[in-house]
Amino acid sequence: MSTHHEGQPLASGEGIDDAGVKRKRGTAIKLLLIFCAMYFTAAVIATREFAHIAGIEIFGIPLAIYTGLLVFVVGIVVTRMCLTQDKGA
Amino acid sequence: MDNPIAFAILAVSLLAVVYISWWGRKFTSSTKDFYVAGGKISPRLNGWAMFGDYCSAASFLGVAGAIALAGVDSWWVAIGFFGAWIFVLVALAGPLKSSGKFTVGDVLVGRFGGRSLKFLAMFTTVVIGTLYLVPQIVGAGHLFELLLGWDYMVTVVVAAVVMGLMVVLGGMMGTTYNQAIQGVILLVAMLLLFVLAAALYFGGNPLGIIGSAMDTVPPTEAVKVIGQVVVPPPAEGVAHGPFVLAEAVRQGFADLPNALTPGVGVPDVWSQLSLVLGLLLGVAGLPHILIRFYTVKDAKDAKKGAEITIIGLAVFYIAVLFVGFATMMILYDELIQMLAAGERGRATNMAIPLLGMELGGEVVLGIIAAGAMAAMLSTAVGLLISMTTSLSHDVYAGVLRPQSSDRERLVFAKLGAVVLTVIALAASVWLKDQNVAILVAMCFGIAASTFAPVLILSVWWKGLTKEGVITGLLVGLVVSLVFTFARFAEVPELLGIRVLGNPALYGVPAALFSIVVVSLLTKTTGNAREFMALAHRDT
Repeated sequence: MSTHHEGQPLASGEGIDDAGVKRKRGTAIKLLLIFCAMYFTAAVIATREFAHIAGIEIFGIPLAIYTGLLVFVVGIVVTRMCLTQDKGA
Repeated sequence: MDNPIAFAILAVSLLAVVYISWWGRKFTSSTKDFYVAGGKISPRLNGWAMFGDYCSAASFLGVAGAIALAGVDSWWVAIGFFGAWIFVLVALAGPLKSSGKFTVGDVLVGRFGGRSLKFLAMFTTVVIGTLYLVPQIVGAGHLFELLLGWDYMVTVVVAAVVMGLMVVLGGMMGTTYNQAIQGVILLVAMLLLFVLAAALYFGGNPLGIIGSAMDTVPPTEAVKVIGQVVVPPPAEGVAHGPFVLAEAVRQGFADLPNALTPGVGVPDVWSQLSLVLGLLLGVAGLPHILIRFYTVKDAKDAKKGAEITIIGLAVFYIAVLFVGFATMMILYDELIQMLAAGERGRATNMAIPLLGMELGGEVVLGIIAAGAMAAMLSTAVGLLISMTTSLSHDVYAGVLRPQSSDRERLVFAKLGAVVLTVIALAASVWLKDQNVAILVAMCFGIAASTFAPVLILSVWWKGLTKEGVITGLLVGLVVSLVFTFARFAEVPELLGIRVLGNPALYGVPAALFSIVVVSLLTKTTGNAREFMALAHRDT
């Protein structure tokens, strides 16, 4: 739990693990890049301008459905990676 | 009364909800209990409560209804609702829990100090929360209207009174149990619709729903040509099959898109980018979700709860796609009739309860209505608690009366709930014909333009300054609100800039740019090192 008083900034003197924060920030950025690459690619190809790509049929179903479903799969994989990395730390 | 059995099921579920709120009172002896249940909630319970809190009218009614009307493009709202949680889990959940106590204002004051930030955070919380409350009341109003046949004006008042009453009665403990139970009801109700639709209309094959959708013209397109459609008469002694009108539209207009054709419901790439950006960052700025991270013991429990929510949302939103397509085909005639009659709000928001009625009569309608009401109540109460916590904790106790007692703060919080409900009620009358999912997506856009960049930079960037935060919050709030209201007023352009369906594409860069530039020009970084040590100590 937080130990600072309400309405006041934290007292000075507490140390920060710069390397630790840098490492965590790097991991967070990597995980978000993986997810965002999938998320924005799927979103952009579903637009009118790129509908010819999203409309490509694989086993009779448009690519847009597969990419949409893949966002959920990648999201759950990233979630597991995030929690596993926490355990490792 | 139009549907007595369905109403009875709904009434029983409502009484149960009110009872749980009342039961939760005995755990609410202090403001900390009222705000965050004393921080004693288990991660599993919190995960389900976050699921129930998050799956609002937009998720349960709006997204499936929008898919039923316009096809696969509307699924993007659901995908965005899901994606936002990945962002929150990776970037914010742990540090936020470690650095705050009750509100977003706590986090900012923890680093920078000062009352101005707390006040600004409270104001932004109330703006986002009140706007987010509107679609819950709109959805509840339409639902009561459908079930009871009452006038919309009466039904929204009833819905708003129930929502306000739940907050005044209880606190975060009762709300948490209600939200968790409602989360389970929501998931079960959506899966029930999926199973019943697949079993009764598609030979028990879920992929049959997708196959049929590929032969169906979405109602929003079909209504444009419906006057020219010729429905063949049934063979002698044989009743019409369920999809006759859909088949007739397809046969008469082979060049029209089908329900799986991408790009039909999305104006262009910029509108889509604005929507998905707003959705991705929105949860990171939604106070009623963020406050749930303070109800658990530590950062690890906050993340564990988020994982449960994420898995539940994935299952729910994939089911929504199938249910949306099934609704389109099963209720094709009714949806086109409603669109032709100009009842778009009713068509898009009530398609799911009508599907329940079609699949299982009043009993299933009652279960779906209970699920929908659960979605709206749990979200509305979460919103009201987060707003009143901010009002009472940040303003009343933090600025107006720092020496006030716990009891006085609780009374102020509950009075605040009543006032905010009345304001949201007035807006619900104005916006009654809007799709609830679109209304919620707009709130995501505002949250993404205000709290999201400020909070993320607060916990990850030492160079952030107090002036940068204040400027970013103000710029993001003004830009996103201006473009939101321009959209509602159907203004096509503002100062030569096109008004998109969501304000995020303008609000997020404007806020980020202001924060970074002002922070680079100023020096008040607060206790950056100490704050970040606290935020990242156990994440």
